[in-house]
Amino acid sequence: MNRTVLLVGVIIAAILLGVLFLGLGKNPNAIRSPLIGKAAPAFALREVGTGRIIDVTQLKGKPVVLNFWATWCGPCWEEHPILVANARMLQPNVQFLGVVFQDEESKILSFLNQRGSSYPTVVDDKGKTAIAYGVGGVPETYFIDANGVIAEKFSGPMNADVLQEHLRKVLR
Amino acid sequence: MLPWIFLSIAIMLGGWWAYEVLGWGGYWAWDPVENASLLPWLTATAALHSIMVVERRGILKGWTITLIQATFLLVILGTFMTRSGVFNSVHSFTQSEIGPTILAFLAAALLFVIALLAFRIDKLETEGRIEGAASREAMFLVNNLFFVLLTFTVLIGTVFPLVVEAFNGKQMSVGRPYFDSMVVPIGAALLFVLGIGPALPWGRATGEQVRKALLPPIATAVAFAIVGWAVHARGWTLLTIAFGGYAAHVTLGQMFFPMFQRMKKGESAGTAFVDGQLRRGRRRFASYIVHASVIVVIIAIAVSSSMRQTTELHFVKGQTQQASGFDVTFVGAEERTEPHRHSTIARFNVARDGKQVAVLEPRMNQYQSMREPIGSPDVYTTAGGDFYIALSNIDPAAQTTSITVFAAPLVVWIWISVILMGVGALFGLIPSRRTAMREAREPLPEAAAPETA
Amino acid sequence: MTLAVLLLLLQLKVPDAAQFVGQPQGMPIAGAQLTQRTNEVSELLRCPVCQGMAVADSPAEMAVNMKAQVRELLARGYTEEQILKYFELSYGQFVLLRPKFEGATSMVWLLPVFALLIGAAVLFFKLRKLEKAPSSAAAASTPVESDDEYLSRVRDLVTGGKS
Repeated sequence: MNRTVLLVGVIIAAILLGVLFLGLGKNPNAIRSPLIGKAAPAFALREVGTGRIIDVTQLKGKPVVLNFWATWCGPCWEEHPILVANARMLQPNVQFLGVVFQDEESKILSFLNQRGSSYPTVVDDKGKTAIAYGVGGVPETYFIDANGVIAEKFSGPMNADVLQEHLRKVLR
Repeated sequence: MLPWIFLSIAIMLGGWWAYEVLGWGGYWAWDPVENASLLPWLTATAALHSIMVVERRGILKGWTITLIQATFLLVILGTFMTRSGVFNSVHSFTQSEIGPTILAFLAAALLFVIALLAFRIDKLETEGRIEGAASREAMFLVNNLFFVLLTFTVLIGTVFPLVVEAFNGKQMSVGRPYFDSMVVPIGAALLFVLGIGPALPWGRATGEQVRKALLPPIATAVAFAIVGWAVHARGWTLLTIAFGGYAAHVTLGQMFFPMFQRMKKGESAGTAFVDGQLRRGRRRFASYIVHASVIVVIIAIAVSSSMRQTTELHFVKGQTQQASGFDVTFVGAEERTEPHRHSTIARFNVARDGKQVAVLEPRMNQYQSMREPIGSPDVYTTAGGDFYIALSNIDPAAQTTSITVFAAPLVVWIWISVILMGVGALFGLIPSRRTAMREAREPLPEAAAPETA
Repeated sequence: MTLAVLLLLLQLKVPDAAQFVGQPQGMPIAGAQLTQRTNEVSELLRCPVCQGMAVADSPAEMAVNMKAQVRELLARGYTEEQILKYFELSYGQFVLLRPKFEGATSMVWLLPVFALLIGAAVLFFKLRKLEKAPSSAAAASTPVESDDEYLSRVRDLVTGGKS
């Protein structure tokens, strides 16, 4: 029996298997944001329909739920009613804000007219705001606290439970 | 050997598919699943070489067995990488619950192999020796070192993001820039050994022999390097071309050595070729065909990836623009509906020096089951290089389109040479009559040797 | 009235790299050089939506936007390091296809180098050991000048030995 071979083999096997095992439960596509705990990147964008400019820094003082979405994105349709209902319910304590990404204004307007809205939606400029926030794909939702610090990020279609849970962090 | 041929061809087909169908102009992205197929190929290739040392010298038996076992384990690991959904890959067929099962199987196989090696390896060891560092068997060892190093590097690069995440929770990526900068030097070193190794004699060589074997090919290396310099190859590509020239000289020299020996003794070239190369020296001849193909593959990969030109163009109907020495005219776009997809096809006339050489029809396919359309490129292939058009955007109503044009030299040689590699290896597998007879007459050396600890 | 004043004061503003990585530290570039550098830098960035592809290679909208951003920053004179830093700040190290040489991630660069050194050392000692090993019957019987078992057979053949 060769002890060196045994020892080296067991070490390699342990490392490899350990790493693979730890990797098992994880979703490699879920990217955690490095922006959590940092100041939300400032932007001022034009609101769909009204043409009014909304500056995110002016919203300081109350928590903001920032939702990146687009009309061509299926999961965004799914989460839309949940966001609209919660925004209506939480008024005026929490400000909801939609940022549309890579879309046409006419499509957004007809989408909002059809499906209703209870909070303003602004249009991004060539995805620059999305890039600064580290958006991978829509929909993604950021929870910004009253001091303008990003407290949480959620990728994928929002559901009521997750929304409540994350809101608790920014409402404290 | 046969599995090795299939794996070689399969990897090549994968690359060819990516190149012809996916439209990003490349054939290898160092994706985890691609790496999963490469890893066992590397260890298998190393084992094929070290087994020759076993045959001839009776050494490295334990090592060769280890390589063969590693190949087996890496195949399982590859299955895990592809099917578990742990790796972020284009090819991951995710969300099946098979990951833990494969992992358990991998663990069991790993433990079994370790136990087997630990308990039995001493029974295999050495009854031979090596005469000197400047010998062919020593070069086989160097070859093995680099193959294993390459395997290790690719494996580390592939699993490292998992390691980091396991330890400090940070997510990171290891991508093409890493693999390129690590693998290119090792690949060049392997090409160098491929040149040096076969030039050296088995056993002990005198200084005079070594000089006679190693110096003449330098002339070919220099000639290749000059050609390379003339076509603006620089850096690693130039070095690879020079090493390739050296290796080509040695390989071709060795390939036809028996034939020339016979011709010197007055045999006709025809008989000498048929008898010396095809009948008696088949395995040897075949192995050098594989080597020669490998040289071409490596040079073609180096040149096509480092000297690729990319141009992005925007066209309106009827417009002509220049790209990499070709005149490209956008003839128009048409739409076609098939049961499972809706395609928009753009037609381009490609001309060189005023003469039309090709009509390329890259298309954009909208499959019913998918949200985003998938582009499908079209390629004009010549021996010198490929001219490749991929659509990035097309508007059939306005008859405008945006395209990306790649001009990559020598790409076709990669496919040709890998096929040649497979053919050469298959040819070597046909047992020569003589070996078969000898094996029948005398027992195998391994079986004859008493098991000494 | 107040609303009108407020509207006048407000201007369209998107997050800018200057807020995150400061002023450009390089020279502005343009033309063919800009296109080439854009491709080179986007090769180093991972497209966040598309499974391990580089921004340079991906046709996805997000990748196209990121590439446009790279182009703009290069044109303004930002250096490669600054641009990579900018993307890293919002996406994390995940977005860098070439791992940084720092902390734990430097191991991905160093381990293969260690492996080479260890392998070379093992090979060196193994060769020395094998050279010193007592020559067995099999090894000693190989004639020194014979290049190849097969070749010696060829020589036998052509010098009149019977096959």
